[in-house]
Amino acid sequence: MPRAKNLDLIAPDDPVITTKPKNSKPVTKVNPKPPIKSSPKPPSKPKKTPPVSKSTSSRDLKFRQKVYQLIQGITKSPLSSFLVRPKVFTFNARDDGEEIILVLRRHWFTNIPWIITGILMIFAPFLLLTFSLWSIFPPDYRLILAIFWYLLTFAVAFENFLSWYFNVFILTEERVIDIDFYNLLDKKMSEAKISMIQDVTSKTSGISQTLFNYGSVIIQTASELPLIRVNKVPNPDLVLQVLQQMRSEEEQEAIDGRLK
Amino acid sequence: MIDFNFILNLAKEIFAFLGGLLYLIFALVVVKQVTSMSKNVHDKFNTILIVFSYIHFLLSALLFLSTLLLLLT
Repeated sequence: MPRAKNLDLIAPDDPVITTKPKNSKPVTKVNPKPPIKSSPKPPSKPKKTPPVSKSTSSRDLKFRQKVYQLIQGITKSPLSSFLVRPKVFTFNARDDGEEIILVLRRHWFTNIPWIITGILMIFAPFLLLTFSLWSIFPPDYRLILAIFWYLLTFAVAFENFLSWYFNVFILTEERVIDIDFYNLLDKKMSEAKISMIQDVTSKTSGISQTLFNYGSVIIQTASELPLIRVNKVPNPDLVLQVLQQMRSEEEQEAIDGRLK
Repeated sequence: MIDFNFILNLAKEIFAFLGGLLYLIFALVVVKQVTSMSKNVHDKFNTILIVFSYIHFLLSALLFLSTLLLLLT
């Protein structure tokens, strides 16, 4: 049965079928004024916006931009203690497309003691030579002792460097990960979702920490591991701000999720 | 009569042998450690660190061998 074309009789949810008249001519629009020729502008350079991972939706972008603004202008050197959105750095348990926002190592000032120890160890044999103490060792063993000593010096410096380089705290868009290598054989990896973070505290104490702006960040979580403590990291207050911003983002995501 | 010189020499030789051996084991552990760490955390300098650890192990092996040669001759 054909539907009535009277609009008053159509229910709001009825599909409206419009048919073109058979003999209708195509209407041509006449422009009264010719288009004003404007001088061709060079295409403006697109503004550089930080790339966002696939999992980040446009809704989260506003929050993420605040995080990016907080950490903007901080060095991206791979040997830095405060790596911002590193390109090369990655870790084993990383999910596909998971964006790394921060990678923290101990502040460089904490490396001073072992660097001084290493330098002293380098010059120690020369001290023995100066005071003629080298002669207490048997002549056959002197060269081997010297080689052993310098290998040991290298090992001390290398171990300390490895400890600094691989003990990292990673903040991604979804979670925080603390990787600790205590010594040659002990390793600990702690992880907590940002949504599980309950409280974040930053702590700076002592002369060197105040002078060089480094300290601890303590993260209380609702996950199995109640406390994640990151020691001697640079800019603890900034890390705190970033974590708080990330928490707000997660909370907003949760609210949006409920409203859907 | 106890020959103190002989005992002292023997102690030195044992110390040199054990020291070299332990250091060699330590160097091997360092290689394993760096490899294991590099599997967990990947960064720009991982390859260089692994190369350093292998050079260290190689030098330790040379040290141990030269100690052995010295003890045997």
